[in-house]
Amino acid sequence: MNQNSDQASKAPPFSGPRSAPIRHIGEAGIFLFRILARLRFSPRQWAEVMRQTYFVGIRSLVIIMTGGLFVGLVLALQTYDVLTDFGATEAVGTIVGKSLYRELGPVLAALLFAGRAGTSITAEIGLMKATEQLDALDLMAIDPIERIVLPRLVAAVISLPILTLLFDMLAILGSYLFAVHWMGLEQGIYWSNMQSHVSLYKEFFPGLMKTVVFGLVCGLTAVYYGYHARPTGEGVGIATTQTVIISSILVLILDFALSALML
Amino acid sequence: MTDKQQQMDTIVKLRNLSFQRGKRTVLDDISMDVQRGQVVALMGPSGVGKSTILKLITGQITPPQGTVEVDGDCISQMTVNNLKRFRRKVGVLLQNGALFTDLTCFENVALPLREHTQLNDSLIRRVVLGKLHAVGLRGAAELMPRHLSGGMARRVALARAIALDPALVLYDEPLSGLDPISQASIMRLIRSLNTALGLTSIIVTHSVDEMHELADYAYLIIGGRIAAHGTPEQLAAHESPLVQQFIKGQPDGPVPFHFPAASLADDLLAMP
Amino acid sequence: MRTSHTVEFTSGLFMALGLAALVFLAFQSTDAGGVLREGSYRISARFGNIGDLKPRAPVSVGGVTVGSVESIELDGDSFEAVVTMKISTRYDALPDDTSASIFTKGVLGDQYVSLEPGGSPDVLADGDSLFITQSALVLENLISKYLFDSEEEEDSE
Repeated sequence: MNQNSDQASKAPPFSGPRSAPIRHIGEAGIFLFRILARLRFSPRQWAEVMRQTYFVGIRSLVIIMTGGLFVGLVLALQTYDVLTDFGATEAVGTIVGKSLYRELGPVLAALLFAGRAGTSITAEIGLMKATEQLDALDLMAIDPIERIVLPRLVAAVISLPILTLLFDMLAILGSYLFAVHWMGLEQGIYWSNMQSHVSLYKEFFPGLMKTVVFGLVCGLTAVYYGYHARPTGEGVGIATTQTVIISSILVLILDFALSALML
Repeated sequence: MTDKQQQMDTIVKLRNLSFQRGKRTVLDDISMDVQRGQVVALMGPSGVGKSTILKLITGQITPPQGTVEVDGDCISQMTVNNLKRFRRKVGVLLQNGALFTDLTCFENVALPLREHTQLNDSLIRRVVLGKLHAVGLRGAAELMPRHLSGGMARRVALARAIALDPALVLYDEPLSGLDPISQASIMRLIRSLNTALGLTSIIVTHSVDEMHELADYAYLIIGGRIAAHGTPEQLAAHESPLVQQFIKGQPDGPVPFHFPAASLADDLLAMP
Repeated sequence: MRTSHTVEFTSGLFMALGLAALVFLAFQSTDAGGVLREGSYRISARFGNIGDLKPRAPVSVGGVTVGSVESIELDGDSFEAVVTMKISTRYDALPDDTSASIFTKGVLGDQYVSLEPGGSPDVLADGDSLFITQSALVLENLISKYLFDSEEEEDSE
């Protein structure tokens, strides 16, 4: 009893499990500033960013494009079905475009991205930590944050908007395929309805803004959990799972917050 | 141990180092001197804080008490930039080599050169191939680390550690997990590089044979304190039972076989 | 060296692909489309009541969309709604006695402006106004008119 109270009084403040989420946010925020402080815009750093964009972006391409195509098909299928009841099937393009650009595109692409690229970033950095590669860099007087963490974060911020655009494009093509080729909607009506109702400035660009934020959040979550992983196989596994869970939750919460802000 | 004449040529000087991790004391009042040009072994049972000493020497962790001086500079008082400059003078071979898995052997060795020198590509190529040749792996330059055996990876990592011609090389368990042939070749390399390049080497190890084979001088650390130090012969002849237990590899002795516990009878009777 | 160039090329290609998608989506599937692709000219029309016509509503001739509503303002003197429309230059031969009506798509659909070309030899040009307009049919007005059978035909133009 006495010992217990002794330990409790010795424990540093804010170290309990209840304050853990807030602590993580604070740590991640500080980590972000440590990363950004190392932005140099030097040719070597850009070369590494491009290299990581290749790994982060290209590897997610297949899942993003497949996802986009089928989301477009399903969206068109569902809305077409409902719209037939109202005799307003020509609005299918509008509905697909409106729901896609502001919400579905950015969110689904970010979730897929977190699952594919986020986890591989976490696992890669975590493994580099477990195999002492980060220590080796540090000992060679090469800053591991500048060299390993920063290029991956920047690559995520660059890649996700591009991937989201490709996701959107495949989804539009999917719904076009369904509505125009299979259901026989006039293609001019499909496009002109979209053009007259989907706003470039109120829907398309805000969606694109969102994906930049999502890219930063997914990238930061991935590098944060990788860099702070316990340097064991188990630790890396836990960190990878954490990355998916945390970035998915953050994307969904932030999506709501950003939508509310932009409306 | 503070001979006035030798002090001039001391490259690493540790004074009254203590280090705690949580409530556990890892190092307790450690003082050490490493002479330039020697191969010095840091020995002790596993988990005794030998690697911590290496990290203190490289400045990866700052000691709460005590000072670390390398080549006349106090590590704990260095600015970030000075520490960076200092680390170029120190090569480290980490436990499993820690080669960068996404770079070829050549690029692994070239990395510190590209980062810290202004050499052009052809000069870098010459230096890198020279270093790889020194460890006998010039032919493996274009291989990826995953295609190397453990011993070869360790040798490439050694080539990388000496790429910037450091004055001091630290080895963290250089032979652990290697087959006898690789062990022999690494041992020969450590010795020959030490003489050929005029290095000072500090080797962390728990193997007594390794110490006998390589070291000019050895420190035996047990329980966070220096239990003994001297040449391998002096250690072998040391009268302390603790040192004898370690040198001879006896399972029981001053370092007990059993983890501290209540008596066996009490424990068994207390079973529900 | 060879591999790193492949990487650069591919990530360059990736970015170009993203840019292409941006351009395609922006011009093909949003309201930036049509406008930037071809020129347009503006005409305006005055209505007594526009119902719930909104900016960017389509403007059509015989069911074919030829442009969109750019802005809707109230004339402070006559208290009429002034609807400015952007018409694609592809349809630059509309006669100047064209009439404009506000209709509803389906029963619950959006409202749009329908242009009915007249027979005049002169064509509409940028900045012209339409004189013959028919206001939106407001459902409530129709119902009350029907229910009370009052004779207010003269009021609704």
